[in-house]
Amino acid sequence: MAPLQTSQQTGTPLSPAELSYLHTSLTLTPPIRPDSRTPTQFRPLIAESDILPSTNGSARMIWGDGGECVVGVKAEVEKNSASSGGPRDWVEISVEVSGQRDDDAFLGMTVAESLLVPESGVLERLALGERFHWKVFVDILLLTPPLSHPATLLTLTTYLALRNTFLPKLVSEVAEDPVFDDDWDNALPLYPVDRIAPPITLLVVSVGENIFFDPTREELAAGDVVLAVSICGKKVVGVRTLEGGGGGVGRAVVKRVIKESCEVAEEVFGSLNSVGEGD
Amino acid sequence: MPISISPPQPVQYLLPPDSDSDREDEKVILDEDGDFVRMSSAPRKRSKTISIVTPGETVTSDPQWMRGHGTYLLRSKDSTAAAAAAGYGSDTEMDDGADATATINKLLSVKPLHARYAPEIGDLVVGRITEVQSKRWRVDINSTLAAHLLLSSINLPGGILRKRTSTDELQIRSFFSEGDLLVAEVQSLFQDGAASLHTRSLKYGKLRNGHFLKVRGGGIVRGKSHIVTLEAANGAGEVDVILGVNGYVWVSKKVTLQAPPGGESITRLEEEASEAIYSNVNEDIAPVTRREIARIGNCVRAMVRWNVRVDEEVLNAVYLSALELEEVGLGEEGSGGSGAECLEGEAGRRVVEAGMERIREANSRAGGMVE
Repeated sequence: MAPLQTSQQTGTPLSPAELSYLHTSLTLTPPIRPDSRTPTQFRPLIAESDILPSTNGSARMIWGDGGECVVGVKAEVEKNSASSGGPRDWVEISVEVSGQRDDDAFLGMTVAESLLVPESGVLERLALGERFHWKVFVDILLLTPPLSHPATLLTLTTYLALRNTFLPKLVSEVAEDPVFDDDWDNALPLYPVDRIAPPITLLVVSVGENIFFDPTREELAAGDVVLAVSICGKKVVGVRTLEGGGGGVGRAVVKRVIKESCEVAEEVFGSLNSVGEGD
Repeated sequence: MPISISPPQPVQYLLPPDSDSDREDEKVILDEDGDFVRMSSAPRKRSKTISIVTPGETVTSDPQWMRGHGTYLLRSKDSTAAAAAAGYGSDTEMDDGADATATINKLLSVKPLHARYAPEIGDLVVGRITEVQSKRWRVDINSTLAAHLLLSSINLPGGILRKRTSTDELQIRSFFSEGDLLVAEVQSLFQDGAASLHTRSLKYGKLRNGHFLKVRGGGIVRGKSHIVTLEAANGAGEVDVILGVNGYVWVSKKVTLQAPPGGESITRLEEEASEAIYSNVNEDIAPVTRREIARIGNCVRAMVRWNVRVDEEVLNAVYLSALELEEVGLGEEGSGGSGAECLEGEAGRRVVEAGMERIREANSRAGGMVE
């Protein structure tokens, strides 16, 4: 693993001149991003799915700047027990960021919360008869931290892995101990195509009147407020403030963020679903 | 098109390393410490495959080899037994044995894939202040150790030869404070390899009016000039590019120092300049200039990404290609050129290739004229 960049480790702020340059550039109409992207443009991604043979589903994604994320999804059969927290405990998510403390539960929470959206119907698909259920372990490994907040990379990779997760088909009756079909070709997807897909979280930074998707570290620093918008299907299921927002967020800005997030997310879902189709 | 997701590409996808254009039969290799090693490529035995060694791996146990950069001897048996690849990174690249024999006389060295910047006296670096101490600043220059900038090695406002007083020490933050960017020269090296910087020239000092970007260490090699001035297109004026040897790059609007009317002496000019030299306020920069600054930044990033040497000639060519690409892109899409300036991924590769093609053409034309 490459060592963390010094300025990231220490969190040295940007210089006042730099910040003011960025802020002015980003508030212009049309805004000028430091890398000339349009406000809704993402940095190019490299992605592949089904890379880990011993998992039920896996994916890997790389930013151009070296940030890399690997996600593996593994399922195990578990007995229903009264003592546990019920279906909420059926999905376990662990996030490991190389070079950071692993008790930073924030990222994992973000993913888990958005995964367990009630209407998604995942929990029903995890139930195995009356006494058993699948327990799904989602392991997220962030190899080299990208130069910006990892939430986007993380959720996009998780989405891809979950989309490619298949569980063996149950052949036994509801009351019996679970017996599965040996044939992997008959395995059922965790997220069937016609059902609600797993959610993704996009980062949006607002500077003045403008909003930007997929902000870099500098844009995050220059932004007035950073929002993490979780989108499931075509709906925004959650918005949270990551940084800033001390002066409050304008109502118009939030409205715009939600409207544009839906549009952008549709394209993102489209691109993600086409990963792996080419080969 | 807001997002593009592509499948992984094989490693050979990168452009081949650029050989020095003026010496055809030789190849300049930047080794781990940033030294140039000229290698003759006349015996073209170098295989296409690059052998990768990892730290701790035994490279050879043949005693005929000399230990070069990035290797060490195993002490366990007799000291001449084995050399193993070192280097802090997880991946180190090695010129395989046959090639090394033919070229650098039994000296076996390992070239790291990723290395931090190793400062040398005289290097132009761009750095960021990380800490303010009583008489010095600590500066992040992408090296293994933070560099030092002594209070005595900066230009103080109000005359170059003024004595440093305790007042200056007290208001040290008014010159540079945490996070400030500066361009400096490596003045000397401490025993442990840490650099000591100085900004005692009008070329150096605090950076304003522009945008900072960071490229891979080793992406910018030492050259004749590290401050490049480009004539930006679309009436954007001149843009300065400071290519720090440490991989930190500053792209900014060119600011010309106005010589005071009448007094044309150099010292007078320096005094005038010193007044504003530590200001944190940007000048007015027109949106067109900002756009071109971003574009030039993208060019530098793409050039390093695609393994092309960054200097004035190439940067100019690549910049022109980038401008051309935008025009072509406008014609193709007709959608107002959204994102056509973004040079990441495939677009960057095309621009860099077009730029290199432009240079080859210019070189062949120049060669033709000589004949």
